[in-house]
Formats: sequence, structure tokens, C-alpha cells
Amino acid sequence: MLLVSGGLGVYRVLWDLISARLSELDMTRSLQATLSRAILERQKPRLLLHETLNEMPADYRDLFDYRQRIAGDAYVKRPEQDEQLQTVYREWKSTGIGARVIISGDRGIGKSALINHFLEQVDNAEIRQLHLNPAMANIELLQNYLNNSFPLVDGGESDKLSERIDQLPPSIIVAENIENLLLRKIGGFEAITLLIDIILHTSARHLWLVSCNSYSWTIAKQGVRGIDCFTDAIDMEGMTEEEIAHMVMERHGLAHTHKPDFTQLQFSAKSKKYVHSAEGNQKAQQLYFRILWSYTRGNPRHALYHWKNSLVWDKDQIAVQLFAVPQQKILERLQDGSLMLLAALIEHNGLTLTGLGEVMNTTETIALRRIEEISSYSMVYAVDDTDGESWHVDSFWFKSVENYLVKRQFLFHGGQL
Amino acid sequence: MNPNPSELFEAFDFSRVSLSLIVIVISLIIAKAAKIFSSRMSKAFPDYRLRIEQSITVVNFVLIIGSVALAIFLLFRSKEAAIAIGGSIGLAFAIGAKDVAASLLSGFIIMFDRSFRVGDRVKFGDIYGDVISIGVRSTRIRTLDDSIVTVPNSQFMNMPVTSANAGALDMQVEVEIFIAPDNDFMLVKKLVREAAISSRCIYLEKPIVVLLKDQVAENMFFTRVLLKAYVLDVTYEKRFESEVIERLHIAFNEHNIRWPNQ
Repeated sequence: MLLVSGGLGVYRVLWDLISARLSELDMTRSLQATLSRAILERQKPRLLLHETLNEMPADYRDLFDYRQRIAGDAYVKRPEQDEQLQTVYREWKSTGIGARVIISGDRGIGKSALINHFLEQVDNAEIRQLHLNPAMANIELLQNYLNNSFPLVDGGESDKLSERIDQLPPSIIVAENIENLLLRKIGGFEAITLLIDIILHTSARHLWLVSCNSYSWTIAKQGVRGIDCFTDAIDMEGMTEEEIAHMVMERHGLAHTHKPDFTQLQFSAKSKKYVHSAEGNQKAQQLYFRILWSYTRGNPRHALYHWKNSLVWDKDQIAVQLFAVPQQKILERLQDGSLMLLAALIEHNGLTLTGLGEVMNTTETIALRRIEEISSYSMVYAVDDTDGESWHVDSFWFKSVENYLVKRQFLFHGGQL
Repeated sequence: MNPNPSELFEAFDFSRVSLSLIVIVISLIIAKAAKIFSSRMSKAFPDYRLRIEQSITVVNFVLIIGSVALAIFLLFRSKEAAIAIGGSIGLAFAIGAKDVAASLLSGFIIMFDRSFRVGDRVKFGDIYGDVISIGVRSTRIRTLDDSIVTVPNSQFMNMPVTSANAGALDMQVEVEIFIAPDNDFMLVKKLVREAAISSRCIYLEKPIVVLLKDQVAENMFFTRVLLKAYVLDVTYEKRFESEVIERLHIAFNEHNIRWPNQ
């Protein structure tokens, strides 16, 4: 008896140790999320955003817009990256020697939030922010914009842009989204090369902060001379499951007094008593955020979007259901040309028909035909810009399309910093 | 000592023929199901497509050989008879149908020596194409003009086979362009590199190299520009070449890069 009970005790301790270690692994969590999602999808009907969005209060919707800047506890800090930036800043301040920092990561991962948070913390520093839009892939437009951003000062000696920037008092110069300067075609690397040249020639005293999405960074690494000029590199990765949960719940707390009800996410086999208990709600909440984190790979922008997609509003009460996701089978049916077009839209943060024709090495008519094919699944939408109608990947589809294109290798994450 | 034919027949238990047939039919059904399953899995996990296809090829190979051996073994009344008569039949088969036997053995060697695998782009004699299946007796290759060529496995034992991608999805492609030797080579290299990067077929995680070499042929002095880059998938080889050449023709004309005969 002693031997058996002793053996069971050892087994129990070992099992607890192994299961605790396994549950810490991202792979185990993702597997659990995938299986739970599959079970829940069979048990509960899914909702689409447009069915519930109308009932959502406008202030709540605004607070969950990714462009909304959040301060206080609702802002999820990135301690490691923030410390990296602060170290560079302190060194620049103390030595007066300039630096060039590149911040790379997926779209919506929090590059801008990191930069804004950093800029709020620095004091007594001159800050200049460049707003680079896709039209500036044209080198002349970029030159005009830079000339206007750094005008000739009274008494200035040089009309050369680099020299003018160099003569400015030591400043933090921010250039976000340099992927907007890049078009994947012959001659499409000139604007970004110009900016890199300027950064190289003007960083003796200035601190340059540059951000780029990871796909464009991979392309730029192969095609832009001098792109490896950066003295410091910050790689932004997805948030952890806990950070995603914290971000969503803190924002929810700012906008709404009632806590959301997660009990609909329990598996049907659970007892009634468990379903309505606080413990049951807590467990279901944990499961929901595991699924959300696993699907979005910790991308805060996508997590905010799918959170809104999960809510069912009944006056003050909010019930959380499983968010709908697009079917991969639809992507599997698409022709390679259409998948390549989707990859181009993601790499360039949207493109006009002319731009699509140029980067796809095809005619506008064929590009339009491809757009029509994927539009039938509502994968893309058009926005009227100054240079015409530009096409973008729909938020509902974005993560699925991105994941599939990475699997098919039409998108590359691999550009090491 | 001459064996009595009736004694030979007594070694077999013909009541088990149906059982042997059932074993073969079941294994064929499993092989077919595995093929369908692998096709679905390849679509769901395109990044593992080749590994899935290669694994299923090995599984099917072992399954078919094993089930045929088991079906024959079941026909014998005793293990001793199976070994003695099976060995004699095997020897007779190897002598009488030596080409087929050689192909079977070669199939085994190809499968486990892995000189090439399903999904590889291979060059074998005049045949250039993708290996679509490695069977028990023969290997099927789809050529670039979409013809299916069936090659007995034994042929691969006597001639060299060149595999361009050796089991990987990506593959190196070389594109040659010939230009006049008095061009601006820095510009040429930049244009060629940009043409390669612009193609959606390129595998950006591997290096892109542009090399120049002066050459003389048929009393003409010219410079050979050699682009070495990787494509995502062997199936994009020709598409990549064509796209790069197409883009470069336009770019060279725009930048007044001269061709050798100009």
C-alpha cells in the first residue's frame, strides 16, 4: 500500500511539473486554442461584425479603434523595446553623437504606439516628425515634401537638403512607415534610397527613428543600398496572451461599467452550476483570450478588431461570443496571381490599380480582373485617395490572408535587422 | 530428386486466395485514401507540401510491397514451404523478368538513398521536369511541356540524375542576359537586381547575385550578365526567367543600355 501510494504521489508531482511546463509553451497554448475553437465552432453559432456593430455605442467603438491613443493603465507597455529606445536616447543626449534606429514589425504590432510613448517621455528635445504617405514613392514628391519639411532658414548657407538638416540643432527626427516609399518594381526603390542617403549623411548629431513593416523590410534589405546603416534595431513582436487580455479589458473598463459575460464560451458539457459561477466566467475569459491571442499572433490591432466582432449587445449587458474567422478553403481556391496581388496589397499598405499593374508586371485590366475575383469574397475594399482609388485588404480577412500568404511564402518575415 | 508437381500444389492453401485478395484490396484502398489525405493536407499546409508528398510516397511504397508479400505468404500452408518455394519463385522471377526485378530493387534504392524525391525538378538525359511519383516499378516525371514521362527505376542506376532543389521547395535559377561591353555596369547591376526583387516568384530569404563576364563569340565581344536567384517553388522557374527578361527589356530601353549587336 505504501509503495503504491508513494508511487502515485511521485507520479502526481511529476505530472504537475510537466503539465505546468507544457502549459507555458506557446505551441501548447496555440494547440489548445485551435482545438477549443474547433469544438466551440461546432457548438455555438458564429456572428459577423455587421450584425452587432450597429448596437455598439459610438464611444465604445471609438475607444477600440486602433488609431485611438490610450494613456494610463490601458496602454500596454513594451518594457524591453522602451528601454532600448531610452538607452539610445540617453547616450545621444550625453555624448551628442547621433544614432539611427530602425523599428521593424508587422502592421498593427505597435510601432507607432511605441514611438509616441517614447516621444511623450522625452523632454527638452526638439522633435521633427515626417509623415510619409504612399504618394511619396515618387522621388520628386518626396524631395518636395522633404524640402518643405526642412526649409531654408534665414542666414542658412546651403540649399542642399542634407546640409540643411545637418545644420539644424540636434533633433529627434521620426520617419514612420518608410514602406510607403517603396514600390516593388524597377525604379521603385529610389525614394527609399534617397531617404536612407539623407539619414546616413545627417545622423552625426541627430537621432533618427525610422519604422518599417517587416515584409517591406525584407524587400528593402535586398534592394536598397545602405539599408544596413542603422546603428540600433528594434524588432517588435506580438504581445503575450496576458498583455492582449490586459489591453482589451482595460479599454473595456474605460468605456463600460458592466463586466463582459464570457459564459457563452463554455463547452456545452459543463454543468449548469459551473456555467453561472464566477470561476466558470473566469475560465471562459481565459479561453477566449487564448483563442484571440493565438489567432492574431499577439497583434494588438487585430485583437481590438476581433474583440469588437465578438460582442453581443443587450442594453447594458455585453455577452462575448467566439469571433468569426474567414475560411482558409476560399484562399486555397484562389489562383496564384490573385494571391500575389493580395501579397502586394499587404506589403505596400494598399495600392492603386496603376500601382498594382506596375508591381505585378501586368496591365490594369488584369489587375482589375483579379480585384473582382477577390472582391466577391469581400477580401478587399477601395478608398478614394488623392491619387485615385486605392485598394486595401479588409480587416476581417487580413490575418487569415496574411497567415496563408506567409505559409505560401508570398510574404516574407525573414529580413533580419 | 525430382519434385512431384502434386506435392508442390499441396504446399498452397487455395482456400486463402480470397483472404489474400482482401489484403491487397484493403492496402490499395488505404494507399488511395492516403493519397487523397496527403493532397488535402498539402493544400491546408502548403509550406509542408513536399514533405507530406514525400512521406506519403514512402508509406505507399512500403504498404504495397508489404501487402503483396503478406498476400503471397498467406497462400502457403507452412512457413518452411513459404521460404523454400517463395525463394525459388523469387529467383525464377529475378532471372526470367530481370528488368522488372531490377526496377523493383532500384525503386527501393531511390526511395531510401534519396538521390531525388517527389517534387524535385530533375534532369535525366533529355528529360527535364518535376518528379510527380516514385512507384514500385517506375518513376513519373512531368516535363515543362506538361507531358508525363514514365521511366523504369532501373534506368536511374546507370545514368546521373541532376536534382535542382534536392527536396526543398525553393530552387536556384540562373538568368543570362547579353549586353554590349561599354554600358554603365553599376546601373545594369542595379536594374537586374531590382528586376529580380520585383518578381513575385522570387524567394527573398536567399541571396541574389549578379555577375558580369566579358566574352567573345563569333567575332563579337559582349558582356554576359548572370543573375543567380532563388524561386519560391520549382514550378515558377520559367515564369521568373520570363518576368525578369520582360522587365529588363523595358528598363534597358528606358536607360539606353545597349545590346551586343548595337
